[in-house]
Amino acid sequence: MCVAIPMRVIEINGNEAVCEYEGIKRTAKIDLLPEIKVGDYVLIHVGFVIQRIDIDSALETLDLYKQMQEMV
Amino acid sequence: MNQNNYIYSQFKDRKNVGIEAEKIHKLAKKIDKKVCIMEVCGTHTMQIAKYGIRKMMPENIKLVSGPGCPVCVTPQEYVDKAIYILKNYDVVMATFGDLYRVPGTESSLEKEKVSGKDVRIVYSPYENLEVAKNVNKPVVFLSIGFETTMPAVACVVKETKKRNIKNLFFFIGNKFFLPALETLILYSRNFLSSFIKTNGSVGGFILPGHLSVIVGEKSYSWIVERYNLNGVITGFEPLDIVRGIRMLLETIVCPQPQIQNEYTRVVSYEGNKYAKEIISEIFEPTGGNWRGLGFVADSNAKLKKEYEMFDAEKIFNIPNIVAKNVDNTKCKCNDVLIGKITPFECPLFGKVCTPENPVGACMVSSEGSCAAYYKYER
Repeated sequence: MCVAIPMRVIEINGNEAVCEYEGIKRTAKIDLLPEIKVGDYVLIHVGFVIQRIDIDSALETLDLYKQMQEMV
Repeated sequence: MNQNNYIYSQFKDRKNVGIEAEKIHKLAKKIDKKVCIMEVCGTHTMQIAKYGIRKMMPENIKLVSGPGCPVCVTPQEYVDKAIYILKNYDVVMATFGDLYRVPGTESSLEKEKVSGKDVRIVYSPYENLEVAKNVNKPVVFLSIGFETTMPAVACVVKETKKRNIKNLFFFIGNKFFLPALETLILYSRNFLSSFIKTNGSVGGFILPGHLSVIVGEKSYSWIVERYNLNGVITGFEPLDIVRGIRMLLETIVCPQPQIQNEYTRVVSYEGNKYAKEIISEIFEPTGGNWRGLGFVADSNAKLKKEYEMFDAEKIFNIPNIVAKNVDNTKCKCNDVLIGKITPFECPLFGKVCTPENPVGACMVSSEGSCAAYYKYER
C-alpha cells in the first residue's frame, strides 16, 4: 500500500505538478514538497509528491557496482 | 534512456544482485548460527517473493515476513463498522482499492457494491473532494494507511475545511507504524524461545523505505538503544533488498547494532518535514487494535478537535461492533502477521483460502504475506 512511483516533473501549475514516466503522464499535488522544480525526479504516493529522488546518490551507488562488475 | 529508467533498470540488474548475493553467502559463513531477518513492509514481502530472494539466501539466513501492510492489520471491526454505515445511511463510500475485497464478519465492500450500494474506489484521497462536490449526499472516505499515506489524507482534511465542504467525512483507520514495531519486538519475545529453534535469533529488520521517506532515519534509533537490534532502511528494487540484507549481516558479524540507510536516494535523516508537520496538525495518536498484535497504545490516528466535524465516527451513530474473532476459525492471519508462522503453516492456505476466495486479510491484500507466498513461492 505504500507503493510510490518514480516520475519526472515536466510542468508545475500552482500546487499541482504534471509528471511523466515512460510516456505516462499524471498530475500530483505538491503540498508535501512545495520546493520541487521542473526536471526533478520525484516519488509519488496516492497522488502526492512525497520526495525528490537524489539521482546523484543513486548513480554513485551504481558506479560502485559497475566497478565491481569490471573486476569480476 | 533517461536517468530514471537507467537507475531503475540497474537496480534490477541480475549481475548487480549476484554480486551482493555472493557477499551474503561469504558473510553467512562467518556467522555460526541461524539468523532471522524480518521485513515489516508489504511491498518488501511482495518483492522478496517475486524475485526469489528468499531462495537466494544461505541456509542459515532466514527471511521472515512481519505485519507489513495497512490492509492486513486493519481489524475486522473497522470493515464491519464501514458496512454498518453503508447499510444504515444513504451515503457514497469511497475507499482505496486495497480494502475493497477485505471480508468483514458478514459482508465486504465488494458484496455491498454488488447489492447496489454506492461504493467507489479512489486512487488518491484528493479525489474525494470532487466526489463530494458532485453528489447531494454524504461521502465517507475509508482512510487507512501508515505514516506514508497519512500526510496526503491530512492535506485533504485541511482542504475540506478550507473549501467549507459540508458533506465529506473521514472514517479514520490510519495507524502509526512505529509504536506497533516496538510492540512486535516485545511480543516476539513471548514466542522467541520456540522461534529461535526453528528460525535462529532475530538479527534485525528490513525497515520500510517509503514510510521512512516521511519519518526519516532518526525515528529508528530506539531499536538499537532499547533492544540492541539492527535495522536497515531499504528500497524496493531487488538490488536494494539484497544490499540491505548484506548491510544487516555486516553489522551482525561485527557485531555492532545500528540503523543503516540503504535507500539514500530518497530517505533522509530528518524525513519530510512538511509531511510530518501536517500529520501533527491534523491527527493525534490514540490507542487501538491491530490484527495480529491486538491493542497498541498511541498507534491509531484520530482527527484533532478542530477537525472532528469531519470525523465519520462523530457524525454517524455507529454501535460498538465487536467482530467475531477470526481466531475462532482456522484462519491463522494473526500468527502470520507477526512472523510466528509462515503462510504454509496455516491449514487453510492454498486449500480453502486462495486469492479468488480469500478467508483472511493476508490473502486478500495484494501485498499480504499469504498472497505473496501463494503467487510466487508455492
